Amino acid sequence: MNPALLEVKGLCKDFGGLRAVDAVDFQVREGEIFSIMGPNGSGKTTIFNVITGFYPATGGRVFFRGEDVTNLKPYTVAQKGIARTFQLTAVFSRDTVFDNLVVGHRLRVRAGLLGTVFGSRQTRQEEGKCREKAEEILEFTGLTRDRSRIAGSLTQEAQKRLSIGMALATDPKLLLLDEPTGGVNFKEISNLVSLIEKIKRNGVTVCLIEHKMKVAMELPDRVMVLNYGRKITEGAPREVSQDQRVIEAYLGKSYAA
Amino acid sequence: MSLFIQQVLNGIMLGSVYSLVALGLTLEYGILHIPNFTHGALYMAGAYVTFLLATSLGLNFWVAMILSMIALALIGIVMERLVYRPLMLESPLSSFIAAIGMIFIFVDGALYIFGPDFKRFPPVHTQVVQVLGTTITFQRIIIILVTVALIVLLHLFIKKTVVGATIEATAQDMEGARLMGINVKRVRMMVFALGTALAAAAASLVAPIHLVHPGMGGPVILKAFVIIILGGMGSIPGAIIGGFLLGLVESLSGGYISTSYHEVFSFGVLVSVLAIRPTGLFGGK
Amino acid sequence: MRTLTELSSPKRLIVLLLILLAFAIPFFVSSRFYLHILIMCFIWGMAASSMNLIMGYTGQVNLAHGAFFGIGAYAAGLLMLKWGMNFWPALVLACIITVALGFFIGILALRTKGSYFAIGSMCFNVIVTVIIDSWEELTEGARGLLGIPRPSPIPLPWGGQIAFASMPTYYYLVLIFLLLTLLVIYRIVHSMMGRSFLAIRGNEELAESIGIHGMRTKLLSFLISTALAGVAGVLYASYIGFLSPEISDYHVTFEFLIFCLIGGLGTLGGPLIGAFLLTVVSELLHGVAVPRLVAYGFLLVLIIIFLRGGIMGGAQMLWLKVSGKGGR
Repeated sequence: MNPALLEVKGLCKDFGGLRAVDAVDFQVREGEIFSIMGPNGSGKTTIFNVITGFYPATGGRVFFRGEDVTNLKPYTVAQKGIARTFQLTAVFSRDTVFDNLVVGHRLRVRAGLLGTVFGSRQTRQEEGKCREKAEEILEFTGLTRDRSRIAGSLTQEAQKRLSIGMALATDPKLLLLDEPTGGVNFKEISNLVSLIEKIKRNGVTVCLIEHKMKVAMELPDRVMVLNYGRKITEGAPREVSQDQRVIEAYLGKSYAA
Repeated sequence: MSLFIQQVLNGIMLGSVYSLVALGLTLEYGILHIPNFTHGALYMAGAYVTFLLATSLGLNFWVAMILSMIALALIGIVMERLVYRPLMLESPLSSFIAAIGMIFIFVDGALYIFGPDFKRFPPVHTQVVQVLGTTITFQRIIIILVTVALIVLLHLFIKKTVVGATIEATAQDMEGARLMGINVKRVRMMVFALGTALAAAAASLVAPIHLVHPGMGGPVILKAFVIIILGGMGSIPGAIIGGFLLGLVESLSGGYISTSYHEVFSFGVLVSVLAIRPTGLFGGK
Repeated sequence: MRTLTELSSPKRLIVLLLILLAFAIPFFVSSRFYLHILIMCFIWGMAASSMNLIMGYTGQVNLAHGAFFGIGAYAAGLLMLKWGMNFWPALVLACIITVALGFFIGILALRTKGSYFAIGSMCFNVIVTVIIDSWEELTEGARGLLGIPRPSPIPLPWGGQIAFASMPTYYYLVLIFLLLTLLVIYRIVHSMMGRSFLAIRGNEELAESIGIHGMRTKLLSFLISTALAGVAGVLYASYIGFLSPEISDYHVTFEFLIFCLIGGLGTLGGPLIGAFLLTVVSELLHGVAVPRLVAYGFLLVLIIIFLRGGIMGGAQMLWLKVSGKGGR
């Protein structure tokens, strides 16, 4: 069994009186695809937001590669090697696809004021690295043809690929994907699924939130199901899909048993 | 002690004016979702209209004030329709810039038409009254009373009428309100009319005491912003409480500390609050 | 507004020609009046361009810019008048002072976002103006600072000297500083640093999720823009020779804003075009009884509703149409 890349212990998140995440524990092992499922409002995106520092945790800890990363700011979390996409597809819509990807690698290079103003060789080299990375990702995500298009004019599916590409440009060890197939039609889903599998083959661990049953069952190695902020079960997709508690959570008591 | 009471009463009077202005501003923010920077210029315009009507036409002060409120309400409607509506879907920066443009039009227009000198307002209520051991002009008491009356009327209007309910609904969720069949366009116009009318009222009330001049909107609008940021943009109670609070702080610090730095004091308070809570005291958005 | 289109050849040529023209002007324009207008255009152009960095490229509506222009001007004025400093060390020190104050104001103000930042920065602008006006022992308050000297003549190795008391010489001084300012901004905007600024402008949350430090980036942009504004202020102080607190007033800030908007926010040439156009127009209309700011106001409203990218934005759209790339 691979070591745990991400370890979440007893995570809690309250919004005023509402407990959105209630003492959730889970681990994501290196090299796997781990999926978080659950009905709407079960706290999935909130967990992502807490892990990546967009919300402060009310309780519990998050460990990444053995280091306590709880409540670090989003840019620090990205620095450490966790990248994410958003449920509402987020790209820099006024910029070209290429520019979107170049800036994704910004965090890995140095860009000092003096070097920038005087055009030092080091600064130019660092910028070169970002451009190379962008070319690499264009190829990887199949966006080479669209490199000069304005991001906002892409199809929803292409924008999803772009946002995944941007996250990949940060050279992460762990990629958190929030509903990567949201709003995408049936034919295009397989594109995204193969992309995610390619990501896994390239050594990046993936943790995704997914609604679509087909994807959620076939893609991940392990699945965790939440309901009302609590973990109700965890395991291989097949077992989980037959767990009574899961059926009950999604379809109601009348469908269970 | 008598100085203290006088400062307090003065502060309440100032606070009344600030509250009315802040109320109009916060109502507009609740609908626009961006602050209406032109509000101060409209305040100033309200004062000038009342001034014109009272001096050239010799109308009774109260009649002039009401007419001014109506006139400003109309101007507010036109402004909303012609400027803010087209920019509704753009970034807030665009509305802000348009507001700046309109400020120039109003303020420098007033400068051009009326000249930069401070206009004396014909005295209205000059009787002097003894309150709690200090003397105070009746005008100042009227300001406080009228303000309270307007606030109460506004409260009743919003909470007790159907029209008021549509305003609250639209402020909370424009899309939802539209789906419920509320004519959002009309609500926007109405809120603007209300907001600008309140500004005109505030300016008219205080005109006999503080003279009328083209720049009178500037300091007031900045303070109104301080108030709604502290009280929470879009919050009616916040605007009222904040308005009176600021009036008191200003009056007391001006009386006891120093008059030239008292603006720095108010802004200093604002800046400190924002540094600690970047979305204001009652912040939401 | 496009992002990082490098200057393509026809544009490069135009820019080069404009620079050559600018250098050639004093040779066939000897009228003090026209040279004065151009010098003012350059100074305002510097100030507006620097505001463009934090506003146009980093997307933060900074309304304190006039204050930094004023701080730079007053710092240099005071250093030269009351402490007998020479122009050049005063310039450097004034710039440092402006940046230092910019740091304190920025650290506080940049904690807020959007409209709150606009209002907060505007408040800081007012605070600075009030302080300059009231702290009479230091700044002479409303009486103003009189008699700020030009830079002392620089002796040339082959005899003779560069005397800044003459208009053409000062013209070149300001022109060179303007070009340096534009060069710095150009370099920054076309670099990884510039991409960070644009990312913050585009979507701050997204930028943070890809590892860009929001506060640090905004602060850096803010500080660079205040430094450049301060330099413009110093040049103004030494040229006009007289300062009063109004020079840091929020009206000044709004004028810079208008220059940027009319010319085109977020474009390199925009603020300069705006500054030129409006300065020339207002100087020429000086005697006319047209209320200048009322006209500005109408212009502003019309431009923001109909021509959002300003003149440069309009020109870019035209260029796209003409070169056959079509609309958006």
